[in-house]
Amino acid sequence: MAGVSVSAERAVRWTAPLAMFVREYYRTTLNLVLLVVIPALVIFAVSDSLGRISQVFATGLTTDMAESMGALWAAAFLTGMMGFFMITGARGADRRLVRAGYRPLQIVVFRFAVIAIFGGLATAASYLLLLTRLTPIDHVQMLLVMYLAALLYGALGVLIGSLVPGELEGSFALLFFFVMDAFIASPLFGDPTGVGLNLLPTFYPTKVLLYVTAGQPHDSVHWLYIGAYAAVVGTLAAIAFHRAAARG
Amino acid sequence: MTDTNATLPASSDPADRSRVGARLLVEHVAKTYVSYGLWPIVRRVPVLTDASLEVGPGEVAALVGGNGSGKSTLMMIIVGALARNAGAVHVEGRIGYCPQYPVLYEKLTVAETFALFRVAYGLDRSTAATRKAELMDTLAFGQYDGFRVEHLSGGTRQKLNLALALLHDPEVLLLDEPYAGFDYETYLRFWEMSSGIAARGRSILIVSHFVEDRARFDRIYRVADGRCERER
Repeated sequence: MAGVSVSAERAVRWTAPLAMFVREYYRTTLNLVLLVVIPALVIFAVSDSLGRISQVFATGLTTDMAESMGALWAAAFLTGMMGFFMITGARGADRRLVRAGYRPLQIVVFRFAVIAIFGGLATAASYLLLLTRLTPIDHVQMLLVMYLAALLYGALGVLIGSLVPGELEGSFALLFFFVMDAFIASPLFGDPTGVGLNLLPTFYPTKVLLYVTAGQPHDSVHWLYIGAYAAVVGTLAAIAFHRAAARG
Repeated sequence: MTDTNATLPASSDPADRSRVGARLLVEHVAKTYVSYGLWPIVRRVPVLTDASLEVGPGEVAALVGGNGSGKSTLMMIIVGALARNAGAVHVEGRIGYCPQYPVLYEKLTVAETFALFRVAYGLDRSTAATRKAELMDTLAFGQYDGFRVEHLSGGTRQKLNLALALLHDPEVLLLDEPYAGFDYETYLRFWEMSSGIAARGRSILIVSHFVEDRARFDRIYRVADGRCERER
């Protein structure tokens, strides 16, 4: 019985903070509102504009492609902002939890787990709204690439939140980075070939997404690039957050 | 004894420590804040140059000094929340730290906050439940158990802030202006509780501004000009 009790307590040590961090997220009403508003805004409003711009510049970007991109951006942006505000909003309390007995690495794991959960939710919300506009040819690949883009931005949010001390400065940095990434690296204004553009976070996710939306074959090495990029950003974010949490 | 900042070498003589019998020993701690302006401007503000203090078992010590004298900096160094530039800190046993401003998860309820920190401290449920009930009773905020932190008044937040520092019954208590925002009755209850804690052999170091508290302390350290001088 004692053994069962000890293992149950060990499990609680992992599940309790995760459950609390999840509660923190869904008790912030604005998060739930944005979960609907951002995808709707980006997919319905922005994508239509992008489609028209694309016709003017004759980039070959169809409305379906523009709407798919909108869904990917919405999922990525939501998760990035969530990652950022989660880190900055609970910085002091997370450090206190470390002083109380948790290892910084455990806090990192819990926070990334929450990002994985809500990145999935943001992806699902964006995808469901996208389904009202088009019928994807390959659901699995489309969902997967959107989810990876969301995780990428979630990690970026954590990275910026850990490195930039001010909430205002950090949110501007993330927003600026996102706008640059979404517009410059996207194929909206033709095939981007500038030096270093493929280093922007959604360059390869967008590329894969557009091929998948069009039902065209694509180079599978792009998945590898996305995975490698996510691994590098995720590791950097984990290190930066670990250092920030351990400081407490 | 544990060094709360193991990255720096402990410089104290163990023989001295055993002679003093201190549960908390701070020796020649120095801290300079460095802020970077527009390159190449670097601003260095030395806050502590040679701060030493000790608190023995059963003692209640005060850390007093003017605004910006370095009291909170010294507290954070003792806790390990801030790296020092020189000196050594030795703590015997667990630390309970109550920060100057409430540091809490805003969206969690009081009950959830206690539950989370119970797990963090590694306390069993029954011990934690007893401690929680005692603390809530003493500090008179039991009726807020189901309230979210964001909905609490400043004083009640401070009660929770303090209660979390006490939950695991630490051997060394570091309290940075713990009664800020307390009403007079709670303030008196706080001192009654502190006396009880000290009577059980715990060591307490409190940052205080109140002149009328002086009689309650076994030791008083004044932080000024980067040093920490014992007044009593």
